[in-house]
Amino acid sequence: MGRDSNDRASGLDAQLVRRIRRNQWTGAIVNLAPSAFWLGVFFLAPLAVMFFFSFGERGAFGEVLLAVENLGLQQYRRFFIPEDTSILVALWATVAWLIETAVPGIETLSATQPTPYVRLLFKSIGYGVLATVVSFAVGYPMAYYIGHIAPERYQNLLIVLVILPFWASFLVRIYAIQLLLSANSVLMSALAVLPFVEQGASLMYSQFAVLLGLVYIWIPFMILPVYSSIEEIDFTLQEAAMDLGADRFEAFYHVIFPQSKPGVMAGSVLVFIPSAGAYVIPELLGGTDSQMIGNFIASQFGSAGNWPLGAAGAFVLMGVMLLSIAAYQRGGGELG
Amino acid sequence: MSQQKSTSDRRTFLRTTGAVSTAGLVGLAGCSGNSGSDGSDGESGDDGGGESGDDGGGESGGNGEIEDELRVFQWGDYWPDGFISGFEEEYDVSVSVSLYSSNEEMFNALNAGGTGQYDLIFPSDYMVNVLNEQGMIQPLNLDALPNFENLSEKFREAPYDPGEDRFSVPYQWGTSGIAYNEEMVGDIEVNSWETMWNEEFSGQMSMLDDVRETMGAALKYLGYSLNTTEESEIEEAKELLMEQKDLLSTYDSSDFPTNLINEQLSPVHAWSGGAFQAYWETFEDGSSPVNYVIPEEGGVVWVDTAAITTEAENVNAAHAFINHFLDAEVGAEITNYTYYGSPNEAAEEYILDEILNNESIYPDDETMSNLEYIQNIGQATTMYSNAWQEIKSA
Repeated sequence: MGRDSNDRASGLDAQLVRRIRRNQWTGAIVNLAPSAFWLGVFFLAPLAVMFFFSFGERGAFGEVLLAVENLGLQQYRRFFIPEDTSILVALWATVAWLIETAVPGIETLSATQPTPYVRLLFKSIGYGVLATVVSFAVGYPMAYYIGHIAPERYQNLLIVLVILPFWASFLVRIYAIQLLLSANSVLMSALAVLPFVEQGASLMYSQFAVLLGLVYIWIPFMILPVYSSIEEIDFTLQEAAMDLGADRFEAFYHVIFPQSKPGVMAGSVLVFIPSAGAYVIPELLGGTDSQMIGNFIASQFGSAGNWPLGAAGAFVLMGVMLLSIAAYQRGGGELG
Repeated sequence: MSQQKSTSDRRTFLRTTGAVSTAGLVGLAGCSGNSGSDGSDGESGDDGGGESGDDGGGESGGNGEIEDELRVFQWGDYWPDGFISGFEEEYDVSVSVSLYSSNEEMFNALNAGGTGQYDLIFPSDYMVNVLNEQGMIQPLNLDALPNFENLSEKFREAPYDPGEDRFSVPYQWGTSGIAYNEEMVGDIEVNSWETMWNEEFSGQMSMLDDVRETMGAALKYLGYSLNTTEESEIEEAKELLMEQKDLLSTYDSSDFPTNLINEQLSPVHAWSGGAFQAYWETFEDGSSPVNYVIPEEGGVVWVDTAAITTEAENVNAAHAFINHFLDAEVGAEITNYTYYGSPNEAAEEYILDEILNNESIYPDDETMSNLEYIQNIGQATTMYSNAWQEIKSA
C-alpha cells in the first residue's frame, strides 16, 4: 500500500521535474541557474570589481582610491605610454622595438623605448607562441601515433598515460623539474658525460627552464584535441590520394593535415593562453631574465601595493587572450 | 637542538601557494565580509549590553576583565610548540590562530573582511605605519602592559610608530644581509655589499625578489639611506642593479635557504631567518658551512610587532597576550626557538649564549647603527616599483 503510493508520488515528482525542465522558459532557468550563479558570483562579480579598480589610483599606503576625481585611464596610459610622450610616439616606439628585437641587423630605430610593461607583455606573448610551437612539434606526432598508428586496444591506455601527470600536483611537478635541472642532479650529472657539458653545470633559472616547464605542463592540452580530430579522420582518403599519385608527404600535407587542423587550432589556443599568462613557472624556474607579465601583475597586488596598475595589466592580458580566441574562431576552428 | 633545527623562515613565502591562498583568502573574505561583520555586530551587541560593555571602553581597552576568547592572526611557525596552550591555561582564554605569509596578505584580508575578524595581529614595522594611517589598529593601554618595561631602550622608540600613543609592541627582530655556503665558495671574507657585485661569483648569486630589500641593498652600498626619496639616488641604485643583473642567477625570496643547503647558489642576499634555517639544516659535528654576514655599510633591520585591531572584540585578552610574551622568560623561550633577535632586554638573561654572542643575530653597536627600518614612503614607493620593473624587464 504505502510502497505503491510512494512509487506513484515519486513518479509524479519525476514527471513534474521533467515537465519543468522541458518547458522552454522554466527549463532554461532551472538548467542554467547553477552555472549562472557560480559564474556570476565567483567570476563575473570579482572581474567587474577588478575592472572598476583598474580605473582607480594608488593611495599613499597602497589603498585603492576610487573617488570620482581619481577615476580615469591613467593606469592604462602608464602601461602603454612612456612618460612625457604622446600616443603616436609610444606606438612607434613599440613597433620599432618589435622590429629591432625580431630583426637582428637593425638597431635603434626609435629613440624612445616602449614602457617596461609593454616589453614584458610582448615577451610573455613570445613565450606563449614558443611554447605553443614546441608543444605542436612534439605533440602532433604523438597524437598522430596514438590516434592512427597505435593498435586500437592500446589507445585508451596511451591517452591515460598522457593525462597521468595531472594526477600529481602542478607544484610538485615544477619542483621536480627544479630538482632535475639544478647542478649535480641525476640528469645534469648524466649530461656531464657529453663533451660540451661542464661538470656542475645547471640549467635552472634560465629561459630554457621556463620554456621546458611551460611545454611540459601544457602539452597534454595540445595532444588531446589533436588526437580527437585525428581519430575521426577517414584514412582511406589517404590511400585514395596515394592511388591518385600523391606521395606519402603530399597525401599527409594535402589530405590528412587539413582535417586535423581544428584539433591543432584548439590545442594551440589551449596551450597559448595559460603559457602567456604563466606565473608560477617563471617564478620557480626562471632567472633574472625570465619575468613574465603574470609575475608583474602578482607583484602589483603584493609588495608593490598598486592594485589599479595590477588590475589594468590583468585586463590588458585578458585582451590578448580574447584576441587569440577571436583569431581562433576566425580561423574556422570549431570546438569538438 | 631538534627544535632549533626546525626553525623556519616565516618570511619565506612560497609565492606560488602564497598567491593562491591570498587570492582565496581575499576572495572568501570579500564574499563573507557582509555576513561576517553583521554576525559580529549582533554578537557584540548582545554580549556587550549584557556583560562588560567593552565597546564603550574600547579606546582605553585593557583595563577590564579578560574575555574568554582571543583570535590571533600571525605569521606561520613563529613561536615554539605549546606556547599557545601555555597562555590558554594561565589565563583561561581559548585562543584561535590563523596564519599568513606576507604583510600584504594580512593587510588585504583585513581590508576585505573588516578588522573585526581578528583581535591581535603581528604586522612588520612599515605595515604598522600603514595600518595606523588607515585607522585599522587601536592605541594600546600601556597600564595593562607592565612588562613593557622589559623592552630594551632602542626598541621602545619606534620610528614606524612615532606618535604619543603606542600602537605596536615589538615581538622579534632580524636583518637582511649576505649568506654563503663555504663548501661552494671557500672561506671567503665578506664584509661589504661589494661581494654581491664581485665577478668572481658570476652566475651563482641571487638577490631577494623584493623591491625595497634589493633596492635598499644597492642604496646602502652607495652610501645612501634605504628610505631615500631622491630621484637621482634611486636612479643610481637602479643603474647599479642593472649592472649586477648579468652576474645573478635569479631574484628569489623563497628558495634561497634551499639553494644554500644544496650548494646551488652562494653568496646570496638573504633574510637572517632563512640563513639560519640553512645553517641548522647543514649543522654537523658542532659547525655548519653556512655563514651569514651583515655588511658593514648596513642594511635592513625589521621588527615584527603585535598590534590590536580597531574593531577587536577581545581587547583585554589581547593585552594579556602581549604582556605574556613580553615576560622575560617567555620572551627568551621564543627567541631560543626562532633564533631571531629579541627586543626584550630582560629576556637576555635566559637567552642561549650562542644566540647572544652571535654577531649575525646581535650585531655590534657600530653595525647596528648602520641598519635602517624600511619605512613607508608614501607615493615615492611608485618610484621604487618603476625602477624595479625596469630592472627586471631590462
